[in-house]
Amino acid sequence: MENLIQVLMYSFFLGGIYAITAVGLNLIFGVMKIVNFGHGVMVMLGAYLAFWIWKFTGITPYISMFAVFVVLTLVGFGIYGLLKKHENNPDFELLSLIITFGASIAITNFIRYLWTSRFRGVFLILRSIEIGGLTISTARFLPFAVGLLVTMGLYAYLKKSYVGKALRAVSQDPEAAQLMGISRMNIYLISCGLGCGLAGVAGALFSTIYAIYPEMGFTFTVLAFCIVVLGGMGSFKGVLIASFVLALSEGLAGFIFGSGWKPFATYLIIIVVLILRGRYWTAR
Amino acid sequence: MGMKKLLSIRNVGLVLIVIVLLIVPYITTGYIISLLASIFVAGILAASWNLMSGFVGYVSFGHQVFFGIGAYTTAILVTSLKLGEGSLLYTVALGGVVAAVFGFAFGYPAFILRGPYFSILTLGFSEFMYVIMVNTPWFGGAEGLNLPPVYILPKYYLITFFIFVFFSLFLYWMRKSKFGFALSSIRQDEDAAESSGIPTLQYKMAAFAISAFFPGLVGGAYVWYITYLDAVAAFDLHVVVQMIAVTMFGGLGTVVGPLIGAFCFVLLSEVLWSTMPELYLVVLGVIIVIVIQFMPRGVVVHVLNSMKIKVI
Repeated sequence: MENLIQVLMYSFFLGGIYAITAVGLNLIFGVMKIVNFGHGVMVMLGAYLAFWIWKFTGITPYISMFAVFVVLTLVGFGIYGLLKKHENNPDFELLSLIITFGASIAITNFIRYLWTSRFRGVFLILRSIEIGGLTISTARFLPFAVGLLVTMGLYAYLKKSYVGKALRAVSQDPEAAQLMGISRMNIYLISCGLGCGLAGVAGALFSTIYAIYPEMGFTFTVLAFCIVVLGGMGSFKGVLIASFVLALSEGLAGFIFGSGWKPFATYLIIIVVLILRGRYWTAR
Repeated sequence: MGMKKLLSIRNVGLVLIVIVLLIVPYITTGYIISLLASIFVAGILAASWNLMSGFVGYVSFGHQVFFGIGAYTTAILVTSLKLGEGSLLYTVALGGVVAAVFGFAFGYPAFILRGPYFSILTLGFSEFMYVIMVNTPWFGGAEGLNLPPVYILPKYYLITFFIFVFFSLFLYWMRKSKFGFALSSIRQDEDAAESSGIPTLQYKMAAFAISAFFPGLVGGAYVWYITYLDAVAAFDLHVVVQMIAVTMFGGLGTVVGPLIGAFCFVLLSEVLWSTMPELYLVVLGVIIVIVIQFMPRGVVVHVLNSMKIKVI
């Protein structure tokens, strides 16, 4: 029983990292209406970046994540650079999927070539907290707290700032927004950069509690998309809740059926939700 | 059709190529045969992906699942019934049929979705099957299934060759058929197609079943050839990467694109494998990106168009 509580708690904490990843994807998806298939790869890059910074300088990912954010934002700009040319192509949706797919295959395998598939991780020595007989590992709680903070901060930023309003305007009606003097290109650039930067932060946080390896990006892409689908495109609250629901169901599936079945919960949920809610999207 | 038209240079050339390819397994080395077979396999796989993604416009990221289902069907049949080499054709055919049934059944709920939702659903389906197969001991689990070790390379070559030829002819016919026009109307504007009285769901399901059937056949034949199967190999993401790369190389939404693309692609990847095996997938990914950047309609189409040859 205590084991179960522990598992559920840690899964819940993992939801904080999922939330940042999914919010980043949701931003790109909501504004540009394309799926960044390389989103998980950005998580992986962020994780590796934080890991190497820690390895060589000893700086914890909680500090280096700001640097990771900046670097991954630049990578996001690069991704937008690849997509930009095809924006007016009628097959833009398809081409963007395949471009980001190709890029993520190249990046993943390049990282594997450089640093092999070995599992790595950042080891931080943090004291645990004890509340009512329950040991809470700070190492697992911190990413969750940071994740919530970042998501909330982003929410406030999008609600209040000019850029946030412009982002939402473009996502609602690109043409009308352009007529109001908002540069669509700049907004796309910002959303792509911000989304990838957030993915990087998620990766940096992830590296402190779980093993990182080159192929993890792919899992994260599917996971993030699953969360966005579950929570609803463009819905902040929905994505936040969906992150925790997914993390919990994953942890539960692993606890009951063994860790090999963990992804099963994710895929089952995405298949069922897509099929049940499908009519809702195509109707719009 | 007059005699003159039938005897045009193109038709005579095609017939000659077919005859040469039929004699090949009896006169050349194993390496050439297996190289040619992998060209056919790459062509069939890419053309089936292209049928769904290029003609109908529904991008499938989980098309390897049909390869895997075909492979598993054949492997399970052979190992559980202790079948010998004589059952080669039946088991391969059954692999294709089962894959097509899965495709058809999966298509019904899946085609509620469009665009990226559909793509992710197909990917989720493939991973779902992978998790089931790798965790179920009855399907061989993580250890995989071992088939009787028989040498069938010449037969494997002929099977893939016939599937390749048949599929090419089918696509050639399809392009000018009612079926083909319906599919391309779905790609261009599905709502308009629907309101002009085209039963889009039925057409999409039929197209999906066909595009699942051929990878299933290839999967079944491949298992006989390799004589071993595990879930990692069956639902390998690289299979779909290769389908996309070959199609992009050839030309999205064309009949000859993936078929010629497969030829160039397999030769290129052969060179890559022998010179830099570790960077193989890196280069493939980069090629996909670069090709779309500069020749979004495909290298083969681009080159042929610049030579003033009309591409079908």
